[in-house]
Amino acid sequence: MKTIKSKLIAIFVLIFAIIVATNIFAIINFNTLQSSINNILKSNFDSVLYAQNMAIAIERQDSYELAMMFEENEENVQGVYYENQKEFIKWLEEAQGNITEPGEDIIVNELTSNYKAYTGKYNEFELLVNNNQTIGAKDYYYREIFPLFEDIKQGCRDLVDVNQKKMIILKNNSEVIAQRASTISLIVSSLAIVIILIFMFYLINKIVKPVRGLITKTREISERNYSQLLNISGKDEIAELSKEFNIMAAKLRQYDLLNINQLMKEKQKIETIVESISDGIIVTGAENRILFVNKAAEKIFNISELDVIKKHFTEVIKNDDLFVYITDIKSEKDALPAKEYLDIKIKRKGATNYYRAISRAITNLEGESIGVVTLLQDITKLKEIDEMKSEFIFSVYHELRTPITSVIMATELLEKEISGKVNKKQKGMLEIILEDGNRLKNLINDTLDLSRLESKKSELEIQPNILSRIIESVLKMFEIQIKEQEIKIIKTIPETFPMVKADFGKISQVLANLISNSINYRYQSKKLIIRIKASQKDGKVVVSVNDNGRGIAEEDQKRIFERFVRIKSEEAQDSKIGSGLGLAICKNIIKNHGGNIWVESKLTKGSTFYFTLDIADNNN
Amino acid sequence: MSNKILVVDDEKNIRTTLSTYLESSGFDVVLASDGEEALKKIKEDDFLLILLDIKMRGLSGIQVLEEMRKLGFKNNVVMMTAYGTIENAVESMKLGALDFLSKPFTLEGLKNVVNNSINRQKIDDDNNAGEK
Repeated sequence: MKTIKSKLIAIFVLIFAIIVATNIFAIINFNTLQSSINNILKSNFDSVLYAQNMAIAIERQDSYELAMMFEENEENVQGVYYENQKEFIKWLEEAQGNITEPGEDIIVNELTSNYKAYTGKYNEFELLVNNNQTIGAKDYYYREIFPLFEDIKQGCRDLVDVNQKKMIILKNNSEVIAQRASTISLIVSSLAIVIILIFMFYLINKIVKPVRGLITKTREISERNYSQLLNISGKDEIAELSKEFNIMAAKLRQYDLLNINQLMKEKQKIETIVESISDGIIVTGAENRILFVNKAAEKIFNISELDVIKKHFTEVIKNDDLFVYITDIKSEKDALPAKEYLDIKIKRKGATNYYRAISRAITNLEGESIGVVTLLQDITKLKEIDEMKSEFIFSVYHELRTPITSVIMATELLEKEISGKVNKKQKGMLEIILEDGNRLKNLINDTLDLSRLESKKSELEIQPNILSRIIESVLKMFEIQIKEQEIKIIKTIPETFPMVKADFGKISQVLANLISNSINYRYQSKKLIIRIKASQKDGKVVVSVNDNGRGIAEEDQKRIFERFVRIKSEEAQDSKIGSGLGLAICKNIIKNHGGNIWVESKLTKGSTFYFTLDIADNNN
Repeated sequence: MSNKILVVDDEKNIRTTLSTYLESSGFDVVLASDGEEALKKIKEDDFLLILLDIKMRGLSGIQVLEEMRKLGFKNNVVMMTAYGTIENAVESMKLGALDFLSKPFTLEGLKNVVNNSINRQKIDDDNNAGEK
C-alpha cells in the first residue's frame, strides 16, 4: 500500500542513500588523494634516498682511492672501502627493487654496470698500488676509474632528478584530484539537496491537499450540506480518511433526514390537532408579535395566518382589553397575578359572539416569559344561556316585588292595628311575617341590584366626586345607629385629597354595606370602633373600612364576595335580615368602577375591607 | 280643599292595602285599576294626590301622566315604580310627577312620601293664595 508512512520512509531512505553516496564519493576521492601522496612519499622519496646514499658511498670510496694514492702505509683504512662498497650495493639493490618511473630502470642498469666496471677497475688499481707502482696507479686512476666515478655520480643525480620530477607531477596531480573531488562533492551535494527539496514539496503537497479538501467539506457538513462528497484517489491514510468521511457524511445525511422526517411528522400531528381544535389559539412572542394562529382563531378574528404572522398583536386584533390581558399575563411573574380569564365580545357580520380568553405565559428555562399562548373558547352559547338565566331570575324577582309589597303593607296595617285590634299572640305572628317579609324584600332588592350590576344594565354615573362627601353622606345614614349603639367613627382623609372617579350613589352603597357589616358583626360586649381611611397608592385611591369586630376566618375570606355567602354567627344581627348579597354587590360596583376590593382579617380581631378608585384628572 | 287621593294600580292587593292605610290616615280614597279608569276618575273628580303605578296593563303610568297633563290636570302625582327602574321615575319626574315610591315599599316610606307631597301642595297653595 502506498501509504504516507511508506512515502515518508521512502523519502528518508532516498535522503539517506544520497547522503551515503556523496560520502562514499568523497571518501574515494580522498583515498585517491591519499594514495597519490603516499606514492610520492614512498617509492619516489625512497629512490631519492637510495640515490643520495649511493652518491655518499661512492664519494667515500673515491676519497679512499685518492688516499691510497697519496698516503702510504695506511692499511687500516682499507676496510672503509669495502664498507662503503657494501653500503653502495645495498642501496643499489634497494633502488633496483624500487623502479617506478619510466627510464628509471635504464638509469639503474647503467648504474649497476658502471659500478661493476668500477669495482673491476678498483681491483686493477689496488694491485698497482700494492706493487708500489704509484705513477702507474695515478695514471690508471685518472684514466680508468675517475670517469666511471663521474658516471656513477651522474647516474645517482639522474635517479634523484627522475624521482623529483615525478614527485612534482604527482603533487600537481593530487592538487587537481583534490580540486575535482571538492567540485564533484559540491555538485553531488547540491543535487541531493535539490532532489530532496523536490520530493519534500511533492510529498507535503500530496499530504496537505486532501487535508485541505477535508477541511472544506467538513465545514460544509457542519452547514448541513451533505451533497458534496470527497473525491477519493490513492490508497493512503488520507484517502482512507476521506472514504470514512464520506461514509460519515452519508450517515449524517440519513440521520438528518430521519430526524427531519420525524420532526415533520410530529409537527404535522400537532398542527392537525391544533388546527382541529374548535377553540381559537393564538401564540404571541416576546414582542407581542403573532407567531401562530389556528383555523378557529382565523375565523374568530376574520384573519388569515399568512397575513398576520410576525405582525404586532395590536395591528391584527383590535381588542385593547385582550391585549392588556395578554401583556399582563406575560409580565405576571414580576407584577400582580393577572386574571384567570378574560371574556371578550366580538361583533362580526351583525352577529355578536362571546369568547373566553385564557392566556398562559410561555417561559424559557430561566423562567423568563418569552411569549403567551391564548386560548379562545366560544362561550356565546353559555353567555346566552347565562343571560337567559339572569333574565329569568330578574323577571321572577321582578314579579315578586308587587306581591311582597302588599304582603308587607297588609301585615304592617294589621300589626299597627290600623285595621282593628289584634291580641298579643296574633301580634307576635304578624311580627314574624313582617320580619321575614322584610327579609324577602331585601333579598329581592339585592338580587335585582346585583343582576343589573352584573349585566351592566345599570349604567354608572361616574363623575369626579369628593370622597369625604360620599363618606359624610353615608355616615349620615347611620346617624341614629351610631348614636344609639355608641359607635366610635374615626375618619382619616388627608386634607388635600384628589377627587375620585365614582358614581356617588353606588360608592355610597358600597360604604354603607361595609359599615353595616361592621355593625352587624360587632362584639356586643365591646365598644365598636370603625376606622375609615383614604390614601393614595400607585396612582389610585385606596379606601379602607376597619373594625374591631369578630373578623373573618381565613377560609371564608375569599368566599365572602360570592353570592349568598353569609358568615354564620348566632349573635350577628344581619343573619336575620341580610340577603347575603351585600359584598357581591360591592364587588360588582367596584369592578364596574375598574377598581379592586379585598379584605384583610383576623378572627376575633376585626376586619379591614379595602377598595380602590381611580383618581379624577383635574381637567375632567 | 279636596281630601281625596286616587290610587291607580292594576294589582288589587296593592290597591286594597294602600286604601286601607290612607283611609285610616283620614283620606278619602278612590281606586282605579287601569289607566283608562284613572283618566276617567281624574276628569270626574278633584284629587289632592294621585298615586300612579308605572307598569300596568293597557296605558302605562307615564302615558296616563302625559295624557292628564295634556288635558290640563295639574294634580300632584307620585309615581310608584318597580324597584330599580329609576330611569322611568326620572322620566316621570320630567313630566311633572312630584315624587316616586319604589316597590316594594313599606308603610313608613309611603307615609313619608304622601306627607311630603301634601305639605308641598299646601305650601304651593299658600303661596298661590298669598299672591292672589
